[in-house]
Amino acid sequence: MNERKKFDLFPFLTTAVCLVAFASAAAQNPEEGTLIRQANSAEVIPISLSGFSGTAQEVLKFDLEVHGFEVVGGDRAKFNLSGSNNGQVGGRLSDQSKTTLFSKSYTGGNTRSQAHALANDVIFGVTQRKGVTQGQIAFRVGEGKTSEIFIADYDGANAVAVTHDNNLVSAPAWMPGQRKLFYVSYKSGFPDILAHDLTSGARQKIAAYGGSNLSPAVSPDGRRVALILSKTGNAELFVCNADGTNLKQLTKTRDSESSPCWSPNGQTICYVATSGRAGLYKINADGGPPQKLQTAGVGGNLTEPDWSPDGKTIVFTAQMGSFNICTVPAEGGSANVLVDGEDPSWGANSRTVIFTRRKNGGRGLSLLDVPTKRVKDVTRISGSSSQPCWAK
Amino acid sequence: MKRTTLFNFFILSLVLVFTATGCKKVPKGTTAIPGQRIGVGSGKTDGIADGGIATPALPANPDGTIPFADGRPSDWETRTKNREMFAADIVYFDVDSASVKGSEKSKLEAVAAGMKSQPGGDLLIEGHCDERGTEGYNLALGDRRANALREYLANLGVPADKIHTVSFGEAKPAATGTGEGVWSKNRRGEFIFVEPAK
Repeated sequence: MNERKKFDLFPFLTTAVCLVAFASAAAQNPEEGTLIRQANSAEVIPISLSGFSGTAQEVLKFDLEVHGFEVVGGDRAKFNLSGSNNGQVGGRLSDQSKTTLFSKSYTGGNTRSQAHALANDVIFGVTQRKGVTQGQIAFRVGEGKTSEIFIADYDGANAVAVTHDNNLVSAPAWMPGQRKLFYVSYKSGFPDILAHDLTSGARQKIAAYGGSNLSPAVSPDGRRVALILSKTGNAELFVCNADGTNLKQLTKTRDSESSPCWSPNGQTICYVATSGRAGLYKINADGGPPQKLQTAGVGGNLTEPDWSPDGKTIVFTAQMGSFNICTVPAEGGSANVLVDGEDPSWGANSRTVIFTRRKNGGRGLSLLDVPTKRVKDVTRISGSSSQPCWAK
Repeated sequence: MKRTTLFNFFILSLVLVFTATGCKKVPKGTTAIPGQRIGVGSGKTDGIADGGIATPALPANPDGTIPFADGRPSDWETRTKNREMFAADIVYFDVDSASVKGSEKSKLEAVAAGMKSQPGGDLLIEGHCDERGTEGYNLALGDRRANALREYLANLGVPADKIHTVSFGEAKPAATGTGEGVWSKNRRGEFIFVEPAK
């Protein structure tokens, strides 16, 4: 339900979809063996593209490869997408037996958005899973001694600076269902938490207490914010209303708390506590005793958890010499080390993760398909990009 | 002395309540970053610890942590930040540690002595890290370092309500490059003297 809500709330539906033939009927009644439908299949799906060029070809290839497909020559492909982008993008998806699964064309928007829409339909047509090709991200771009918050399409296209403070910022977090970001700004000389309405441009100070004000995370219903304050003299986890009122302290430890995230039902917060080593903990969002999350198989400092929208899995960074993106069941258990990287954020499909990789002295964003562990780099803009967060 | 502090706090509270009431008149849609206070809806001054009025004296919590004064000095941006005064007293830390090392204690004593000789000033402590942590982790680590230094100075008698902290994580390295020679220079706490209002 959450997942559906998130898709519906963030439509880029400038693209009108015309169903020409077959539509989803074929997808719902597949020939045996035609469609790959395991919910979390780690199988890479070979697909061929024909008839596309330029931006449309690039977008389709990128989108499909982010979602566990591999674009190959026609002879190795299990599926073929043939079509064109002359004037408008359209395509016909067929399987190995040349049976047409759907044929669709798109109007409105531009070539890029039409190609994203077609890619999403191919992903759903083949896997019955929704894609995240129409998602947006917020992230931090550092350049020299300053940094700004940017938003962009999930592949890095159409990047736009949200802040122009010529100062330091950090930790953008999207308010679910709204064009609003929360982040940390050093404009006052101290780290304060601001809420930034992307439509009006208005900014509101949410937390500016003595000490640090860090790591805002908005609850799935958009009503509350989890945040880290050190106003007591030590970093602790707090929650407040989305306007900063009704502040409540959740932890009271000599440890240092950091990096909160919410369970999709809004009842639990997962966060990091550091005493010696940093580990993952869970706490009831209304207060209660913290519970350590078991993460067997990984060591070092564990940081930056993010809870999947389907509630099942927590992704996090393990600092074990280098940095590794890892997952663990939300109830705790054995952790999986996936790839090198840090600061992961789940896409709405609970399958694609956007994260940060260090390269050439800077940082850039990459997308990880969790079951296949395949990684694609997001288009880099100048400077060092990090701290990605998916629009929810 | 204590009475004066309490009186000042009372005045500050009045100002805050007044500001809060004033804020309601700011039209929505106006960018209102400077001066806008949080938590003003209840009509109470915001951010006061559960203990209420006890904040000005900033007594240590039972676990040794020392709370911050509510909010920040209103004249902060206009006051001169003197980075030279304690430039020789930069405190360095071990990897992934916020413990004050024995070798660094004399620097803290010098800072404490300097602060006591300038009772009208404030102190800003910057917590910094090397790049070998994630950005989020390093912001938390820089915060721990700054808080550890603040606690140490408060225990040396510097009034805690005069000590402010900021964590920059790894965003402001003292040296760039890689290797322990660089990293060890970046794991640090810096002290900035904030001169009294003129």
